Amino acid sequence: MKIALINGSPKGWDSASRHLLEILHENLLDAHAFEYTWNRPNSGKKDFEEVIKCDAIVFAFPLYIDTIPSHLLNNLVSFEEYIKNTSLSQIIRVYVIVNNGFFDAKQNHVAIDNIGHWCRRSGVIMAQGVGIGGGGMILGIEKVPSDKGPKKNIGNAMMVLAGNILEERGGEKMLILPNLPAFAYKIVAEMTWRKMAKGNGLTTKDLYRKI
Amino acid sequence: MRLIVHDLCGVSENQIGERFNSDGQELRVVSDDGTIKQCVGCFSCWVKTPGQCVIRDKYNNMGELMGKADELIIISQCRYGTYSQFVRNVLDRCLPYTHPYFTKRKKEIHHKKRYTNRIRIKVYFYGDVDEAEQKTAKQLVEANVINFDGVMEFVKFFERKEEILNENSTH
Repeated sequence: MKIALINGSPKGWDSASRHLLEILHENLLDAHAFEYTWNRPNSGKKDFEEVIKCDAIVFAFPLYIDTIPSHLLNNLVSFEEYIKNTSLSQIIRVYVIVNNGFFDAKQNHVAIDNIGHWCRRSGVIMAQGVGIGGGGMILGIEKVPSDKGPKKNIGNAMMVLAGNILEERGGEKMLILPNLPAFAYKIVAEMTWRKMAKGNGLTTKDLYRKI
Repeated sequence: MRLIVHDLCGVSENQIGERFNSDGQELRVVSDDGTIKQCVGCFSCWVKTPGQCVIRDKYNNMGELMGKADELIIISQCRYGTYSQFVRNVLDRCLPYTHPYFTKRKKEIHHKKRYTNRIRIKVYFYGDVDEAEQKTAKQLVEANVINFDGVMEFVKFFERKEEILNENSTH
């Protein structure tokens, strides 16, 4: 079984999407999983030929203004054309992992549905979508084991998703909250912004600047 | 100010003005000239140059334009229940309109507002859009309205883009 793991974050390596795919990859056992990064509007083109030979494609990306980031959308439009002009020799199932910087995972549901519509237009099967809240903290807790603490819910979701991929089946949409209270997430996130601003020589008041 | 973001190729700002600005309100039109760069998620517009995108192209003032807008009109091809690549890109570049801190809106966590205006949002989608995609597109616009703390005016669908410019209505 061949699986394409596509990181659709514009940040590439330095992204929550990359880490989520890593956790998933750990659960994919002996399956042949190949990693790709589509972080620019046309960066996927070189990979299309390889990716359509896979039995499963997993897209992971951050939510941008409630939907798919523009550069990834551009890749998907080109990929749809490529698939339509190719005769597929196998069924392709698509899985998607969307993370957002807000706390509530349900805000990812539109982006998951967007990928579902892309699948229908492209003639591939939308198998399952996972929406993950609290995406802003994922890289910060990269070293924490996936089955523990704030990452526990994410680790469990990736295990279920991996099982469905390996069994070549679909599943219900999963919306995963971070394993910590919303107020704690808010405090840590806002503290991080202040720290970054201070590093740039700004004060908290400067964050409110209007142009 | 009325802000229009559109992906109509070969349509001049004058044509847009004739169709959407019969009342003579101040108008800003954001069109696709093929030079827009993507948002790279650097968050400089929040923590380095608050309110200002650091990408060097002519679309780096979207936060400011949104901050001065009373009305936002979006004209976009509908792709998989979302906007076209160009309109998506412009909206991604609107991140400096928001503030990094969180607030609650409609029982959901969103980013605080940097500006005090409340933008009335009107969306014209065009293209081959099935029922399921229409449903998702409406949900997307509703989410955008909450995200920007705007006011929903309408979402309309047209088969051909020409119908939008010829539609017989005030805006």
